Amino acid sequence: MEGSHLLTLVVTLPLVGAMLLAFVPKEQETAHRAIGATFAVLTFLLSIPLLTGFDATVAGFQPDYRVSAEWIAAMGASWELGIDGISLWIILLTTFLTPIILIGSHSSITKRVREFTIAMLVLETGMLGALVATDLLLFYLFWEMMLIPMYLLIGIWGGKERRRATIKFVIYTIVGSLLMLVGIIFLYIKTGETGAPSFSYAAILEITLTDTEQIWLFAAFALAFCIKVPLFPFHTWLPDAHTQAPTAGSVVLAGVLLKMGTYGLLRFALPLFPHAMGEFSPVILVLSVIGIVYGALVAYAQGDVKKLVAYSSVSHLGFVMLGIVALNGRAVEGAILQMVNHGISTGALFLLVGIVYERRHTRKISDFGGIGASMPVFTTLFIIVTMSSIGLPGTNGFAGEFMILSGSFFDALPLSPEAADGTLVSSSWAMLMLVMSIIATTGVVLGAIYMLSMVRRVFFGPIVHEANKSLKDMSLRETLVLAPLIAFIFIIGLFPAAFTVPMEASVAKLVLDTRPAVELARDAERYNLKPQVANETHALGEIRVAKGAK
Amino acid sequence: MVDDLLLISPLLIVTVMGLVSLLVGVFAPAGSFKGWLAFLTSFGFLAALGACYMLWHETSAGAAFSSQSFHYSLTLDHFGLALCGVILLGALLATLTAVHYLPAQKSDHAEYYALIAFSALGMMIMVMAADLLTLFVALEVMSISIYILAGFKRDSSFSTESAMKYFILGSFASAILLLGISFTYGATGTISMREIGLAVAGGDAHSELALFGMVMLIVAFGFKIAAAPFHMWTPDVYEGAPASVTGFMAVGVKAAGFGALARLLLTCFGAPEYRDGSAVSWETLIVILAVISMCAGNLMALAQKNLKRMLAYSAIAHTGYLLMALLVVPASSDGEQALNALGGGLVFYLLAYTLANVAAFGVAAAVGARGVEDAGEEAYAGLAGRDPMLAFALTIAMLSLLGIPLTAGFMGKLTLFGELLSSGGGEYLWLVVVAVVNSVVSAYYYLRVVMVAYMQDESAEKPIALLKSAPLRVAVGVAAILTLVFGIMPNKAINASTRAGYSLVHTSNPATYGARVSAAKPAITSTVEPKDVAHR
Repeated sequence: MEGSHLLTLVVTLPLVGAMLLAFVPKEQETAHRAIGATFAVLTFLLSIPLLTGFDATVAGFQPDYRVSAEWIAAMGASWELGIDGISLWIILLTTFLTPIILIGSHSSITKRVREFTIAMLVLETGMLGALVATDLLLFYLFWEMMLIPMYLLIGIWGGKERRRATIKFVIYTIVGSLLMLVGIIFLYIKTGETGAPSFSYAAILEITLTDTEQIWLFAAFALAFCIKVPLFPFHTWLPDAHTQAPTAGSVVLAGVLLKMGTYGLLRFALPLFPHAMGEFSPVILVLSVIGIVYGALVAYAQGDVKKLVAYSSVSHLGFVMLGIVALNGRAVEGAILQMVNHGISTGALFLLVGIVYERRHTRKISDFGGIGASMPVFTTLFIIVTMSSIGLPGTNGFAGEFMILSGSFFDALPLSPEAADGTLVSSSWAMLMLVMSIIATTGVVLGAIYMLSMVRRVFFGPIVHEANKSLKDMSLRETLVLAPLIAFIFIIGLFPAAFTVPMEASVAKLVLDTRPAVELARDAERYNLKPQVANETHALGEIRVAKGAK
Repeated sequence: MVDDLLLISPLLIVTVMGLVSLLVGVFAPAGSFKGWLAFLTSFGFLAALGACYMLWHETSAGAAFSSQSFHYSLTLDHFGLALCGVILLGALLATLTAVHYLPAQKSDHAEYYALIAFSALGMMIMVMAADLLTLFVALEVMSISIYILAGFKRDSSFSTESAMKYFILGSFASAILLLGISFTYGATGTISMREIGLAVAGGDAHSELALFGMVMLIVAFGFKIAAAPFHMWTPDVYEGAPASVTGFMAVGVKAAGFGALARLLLTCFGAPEYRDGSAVSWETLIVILAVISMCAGNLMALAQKNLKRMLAYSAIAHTGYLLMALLVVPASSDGEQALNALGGGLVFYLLAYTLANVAAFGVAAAVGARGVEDAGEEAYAGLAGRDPMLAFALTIAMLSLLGIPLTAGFMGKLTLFGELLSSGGGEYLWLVVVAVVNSVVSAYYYLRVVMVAYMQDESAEKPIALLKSAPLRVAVGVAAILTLVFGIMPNKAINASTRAGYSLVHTSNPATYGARVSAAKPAITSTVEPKDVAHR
């Protein structure tokens, strides 16, 4: 039973810290910061055994870390937690980012420190809980638990127009999540038809749904997740929320909260409703590619650095969605890796923007120019993170984007496979995927354009504003906060295999389980020629195998 | 006979407490502090709560009075006991909020506590009533006490106006109720709910007269539970009445009204042709009322700046959600589906609603100490800085009313929607979606309260006039903590409310329950094993 309640501990520890903080007097701000950081670091340390004890050969939830305890027996809901290759890295990203955020907001959050720390810790519990819950009611509970702290983070410590931003954020999120709740209740009642009704993920996977039911339920779930991602055209809350949020809010929003949407799709929407996923695939595919290009173009037009980074998130998350839709081993692994990459590089970008904002109290690109001369260390770090965001080889961004794009091209091939009688069968899905992959690739170029032009205008050229001449470079604390993020940019970039290996078994299982139904719904032409486009090759994502088959 | 007195011990305790308060009021010197009476009354409520708890465990699901002591005018079942518990809990906490609030409003009179006790008594009898006259008398006991309480600040024209409005419209509703009772009596020749049910089901009743009576009864109850379009009095009365009274009437009247309405409709008009067969079946009426109440309540609440007025419209919206619970088809009593017992969702939702409203009105009382009925945004802007505990309780209350997880309100919505979806094969899926869309709308105004309390600064000209009152803080704190407890660990409460639901299914079936058993039978008759339900 070693480590069996480790997940429970990891999930609840931040909440314990938050409760403890409620009893510390309001004035002792140093104590608040210290307790908050301690609990966040402790949670991170506790989550490390999850990685070291992770058995990469197990497909599905790790048996060693399974937690199952009674909760609401009357309703068939229980405290069920689990971790697998899909959630592992996002969980670690969450526990890794939270202490960085807490320590990093030392100088930016100076009022109501206690409330801030409590909100961050409760938020961490919500995020971790949503990532490990394998009971749908429990998942929903944690899912909504993230809402209120985020609402307070933007609303109390946010910018001038924070009120409008919070309302927009909350209404968008609640519309999605309440419809998802109706879907969850529907599934719960369905499980009651064959036995005791239950919210358990395993029990819900067992039920058979008609195609119509799948489509409606998928719509309810996917709406909640796509708003969170955010998929174009549900993204309009994001730039507002990001610009108004304090640095800490932006980092946690970009770093983890957005991943909840893509994670939810992978964990719930896809395995539960594969047929509907197939039916909706063309729509999601087109919308995510629109998101990639549109996000990049709008980012290019921004005069506010933070807004630019916010729109770049829309573009980057479009890549993640593309990987999920392509649904082969390589693309899905790339999508998960890219979720982590985006959390690290965009988190770092927001931290850097926050650092310069604290000095100049402006984020307008036109207010800067030439600060490379006055802040050399800052400039170096910023450019490294920029390179990671663009996806320069050697940085983490390259590994993720390359896997996603090669996976999506792989999904498009063979364009017109040969049938048994020698005729060529044309597949509309393959054509669409090919065109969309090509357009998505241009998004990488666009990413370089908007990021580099911003870097040029902010850091190089002559200093036009007097205030920029005497900017202080990064302090030791700020450098230390950023150092781990920079380190991971290179570690993931240089050794991506170390990060994809633990995912492989779980991702392969997911693809093997769901791909046939998805493919039948979206790509019947190729599906009917089964042996040629073998399912297993997609699952493992090995292009070599496909070549051999041809 | 003595056994029967034991069975109504909660009612007796509350009556005695009311009388004691009244007597003390006569002998206590004028102008002295009467707050200690609140503790006495609360103690009475607590004792009555204990008596309910004891009866709950002693009584099996189908308990009945054996002799003719009350001439079959009361039904003692888990449904009634559970709602009595909810009413007593609300009364207990609301009484505690009044201790220092009334002196601050210069209305510290002993009658206040007597009236609270009497109206609680009326409410408790309402949910137990087994014939229409008992129901009417109980309703009047409750209403008249509340009319007086609403105008308890005698020197405030605002408060008096609200009492007057409530009284006139309430009397009108009572007249309609009597009209409904007379028509039903005319159609069936009896006032006993069970015999009405038998006559209606057996086809002995004059169906047009009975239908007319049914519609009148629903209209009258629609007024009491503040269902749109009979809600016009609600905002003015909620705003004008003293906050401690509003808190009590918001929760008590609603619990009593819904309990009585559920029992009445199921017992008297449970027959299929009245339920969903004819053109004016009560299911159709309830659906219409539910949709109008939800939409009207939520839309009008959006524009409210005053906390009490906003809560009034939110009460109308919650009436809409609660009405949905009446549409659940009673499950067979084999206890197969936990979420499929009519009344289970109703009871749990009422419990959650009671706790949230007590906390919210408690905070409204605490910040409304400036004399006028002032619960506008300025009255509590920046409350988080001044008093974090009250602000936190207010937040919990708002989140519970909105139905965010970890609060009892979420579990209430979950059981309610789950019940409705699982009964009748998803026939009311559209209604659940309407309710969900309404919940989204309500997020705007509930969260605005949180925003004002946390994100605005205290107004410089009019700083918060905070009432220093330990009992109030205890009441608000207990309500907030219970909201969280029932939101995180709802297992026991759900089991209990499910059991209450089963007992209603049983006692409202005129064919199986309430037959005039001979005096030789034991005091309590049991037909359903409680374990069936408890261990589901």
